[in-house]
Amino acid sequence: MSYFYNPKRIYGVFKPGQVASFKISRSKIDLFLQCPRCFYMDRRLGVARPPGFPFNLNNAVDTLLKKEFDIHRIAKSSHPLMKEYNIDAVPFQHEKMDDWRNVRKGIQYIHKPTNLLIMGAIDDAWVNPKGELYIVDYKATSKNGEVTLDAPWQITYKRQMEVYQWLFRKNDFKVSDIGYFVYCNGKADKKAFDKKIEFDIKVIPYKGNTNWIEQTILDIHKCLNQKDIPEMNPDCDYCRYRKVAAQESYKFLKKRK
Amino acid sequence: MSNQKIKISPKALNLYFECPLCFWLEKNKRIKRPAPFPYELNTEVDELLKQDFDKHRVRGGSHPLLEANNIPAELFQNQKLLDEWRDNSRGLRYYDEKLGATLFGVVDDILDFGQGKLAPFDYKSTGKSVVKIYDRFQLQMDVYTYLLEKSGYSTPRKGILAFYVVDKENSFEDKLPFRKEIHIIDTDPSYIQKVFKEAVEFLQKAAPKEHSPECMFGKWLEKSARN
Repeated sequence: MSYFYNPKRIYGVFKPGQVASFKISRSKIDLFLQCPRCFYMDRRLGVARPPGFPFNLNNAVDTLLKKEFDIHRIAKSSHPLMKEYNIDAVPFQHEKMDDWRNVRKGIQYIHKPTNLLIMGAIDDAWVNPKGELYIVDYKATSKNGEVTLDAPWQITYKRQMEVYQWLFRKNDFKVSDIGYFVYCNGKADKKAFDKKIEFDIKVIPYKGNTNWIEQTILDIHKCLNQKDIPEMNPDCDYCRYRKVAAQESYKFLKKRK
Repeated sequence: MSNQKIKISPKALNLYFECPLCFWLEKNKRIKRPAPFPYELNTEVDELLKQDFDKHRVRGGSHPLLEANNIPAELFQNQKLLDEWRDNSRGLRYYDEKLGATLFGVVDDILDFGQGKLAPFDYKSTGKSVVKIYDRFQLQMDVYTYLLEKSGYSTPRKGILAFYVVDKENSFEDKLPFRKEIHIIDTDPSYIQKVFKEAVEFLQKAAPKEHSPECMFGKWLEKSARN
């Protein structure tokens, strides 16, 4: 594969006893919850899972949606989707919006007890007349039937929303428990494909619960400080692959000795 | 080991070039690299394009995209055969008796250049701004050309790639807009038999000692094992 992969990073690696705060993004929080072993190898040992090809069509949808909501942000007007879903809000105007959307910056908060710098980059935030924020995330897919948040793997979307809500609250914003997923579903039954995918767009409200976050950050900190690699999650595809691939390689080595 | 079941696709050949050990593990031990999350939007574009091209196929086989790019070809008219070649469980295939192995490819579409000459026609979609013809696209078109010739068709030794590139300058309005670019590449099936044979014979030997130096999974496994 032609893109860059550094199998043994020297940056972004936690050293026990380090004085500087250590950055943990919302996706690494999710990685920790998916598989502590993969998380530890990545953030403590500098050995990250190899990346896949980028989802550049999904990224393009995000880019275009951002542009579209920005028109309403500047005009301080509500977007037709908000009207359709009876959401009394406008896109939030804030000088830091560009930073919050930038994956290298995002919205940040230093968790004092652990000195972990928690961060996440949002797609959007809307504000209601009471000054409460709704965190918004854009999703794009193509499937038959209605999009929902009901599939077990979508827990990752829910946690994502909750981490953003938590981060904005820690930055002293008033944040509604409700966040919105702007979910774009490519229509498969279109008569003719000329040069566009048409989407059905659904705005799905989700009531976040951020209670788990504090404890998880403490768990992450504990994990980073431990000497031994944590057990793998038995369902982790990467660890299962690593285990069988390593066993096979070991067999060959023995045979050749 | 029975090699009756050896089935090689362009993707597998690509893996063989990228990392022989990963290829060996996948084919002989069913140990596959972890699969990424599915690329649903790309699949969607393929699906929509198939529907659209099929509609024009029934009407006689010309298509505005081919006309606009002055491509002297029509859409292949045998829908039944094309559906077979598009089917993951069948595909365009060639069984080599001496090797006891099958080389196969699943096509998006086929163009008919007249006088029985057929060429592979593949749809590619991307959200990047610039079109790039990766080596794996070339290999794919070379394998398809080889398979068409092995199936008794003559070919113009060309592969046609229709790129659908997201037009980010356009507005969204519930649509992901694309611009279209057609690229015609020359294909060379002359080396395919050789690499097919090489890959199959490779699978019958003992596994290589190491992953290729560029293999990301090999690097990852190695660094993992050291900790």
